[in-house]
Amino acid sequence: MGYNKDLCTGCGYCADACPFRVPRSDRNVLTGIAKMDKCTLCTTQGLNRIAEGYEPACVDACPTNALVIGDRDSLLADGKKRVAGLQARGMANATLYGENELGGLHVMYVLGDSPGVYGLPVDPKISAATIAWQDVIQPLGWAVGGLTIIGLGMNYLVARANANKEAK
Amino acid sequence: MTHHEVEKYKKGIRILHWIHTGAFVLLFLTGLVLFIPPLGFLAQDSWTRVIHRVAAAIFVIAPIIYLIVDPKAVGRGLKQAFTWGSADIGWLQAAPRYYFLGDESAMPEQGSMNTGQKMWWFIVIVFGVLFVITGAIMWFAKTSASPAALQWMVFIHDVSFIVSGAMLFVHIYLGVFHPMMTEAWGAITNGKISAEYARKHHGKWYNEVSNKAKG
Repeated sequence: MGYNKDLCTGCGYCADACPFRVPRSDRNVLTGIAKMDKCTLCTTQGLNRIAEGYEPACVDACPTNALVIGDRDSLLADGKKRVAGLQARGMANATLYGENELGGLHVMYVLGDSPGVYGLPVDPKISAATIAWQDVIQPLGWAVGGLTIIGLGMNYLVARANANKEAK
Repeated sequence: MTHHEVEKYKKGIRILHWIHTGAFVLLFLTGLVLFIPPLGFLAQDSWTRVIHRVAAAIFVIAPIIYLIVDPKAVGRGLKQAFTWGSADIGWLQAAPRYYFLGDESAMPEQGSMNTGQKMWWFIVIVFGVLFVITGAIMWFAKTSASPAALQWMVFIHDVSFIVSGAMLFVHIYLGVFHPMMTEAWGAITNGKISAEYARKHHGKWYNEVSNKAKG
């Protein structure tokens, strides 16, 4: 996932919502001034290597081809082949992390052991608070704010008409 | 009858009201830009967060200063806001016809604070405390609290924002725009209301004040 750093407000909501704790920031505790940082796979605006037909710099630099970029299907096939190789060498817990997690991730890891060993969540989930914020708080805000303003507008029209009637 | 006026709000409480209003409006607007994603660009580079925090400090410090300067007034206000009686039940029943149709016949005499104003006090106090607690955690424990805890702080902060923001609309509407509340603006700006308005809107309080003046 890419992001536009210029637009970042530094609220940090993404850091708390990310099951993998990927976004980071340097934060001034007193003022709260911050910019989030995360890898964009070299798709940062103005420095977009992918759009120019290059690979991300880390992939380009990797001497052992540990890092590979490509379309997801071919990466899946390649990853599964590597996992099978590891398992054949006795690594029974070897797995392709990201194949099914959260419906399938765009970054996948060939792991020699269970994800917990590498500090990755074994069963990553979107937190209840994230869902509550997006699916409850957001529509609730619009509904309560909108209905209040409509209600007050209606009250004004009725009350003013009555006040005018009485004045006559 | 001469144009007789009574003092509704003393200078101290009016100053507190407007400082607190200014702080809350700033907090509301700088919070709104995070709540409505299309407005998010206004918050870029964190400058709205700096304003939010300066306003938050004023929002907390101003009532504390008032409490130190005039603790008795705070006590009287709290006591009145949280003391409910038959006049409040009557207000709730009469309010729809009163505020829509101007029908005053069923409206019981109110003290210096009517039932609606008591409910507003309740909202300001309850959600003010929630705002400050959750906001302080997001401010000072942003890097130490767990992500889930911080997310629920945002959740509570936003529920408080929705409820108190909507009620702020009601408060501003009743104070400034409602056709019957002709002197509410004067009461909170220069402090004075006419005796006639006081008698009609705060009858119980007006009787107490005028009896005290006589006796």
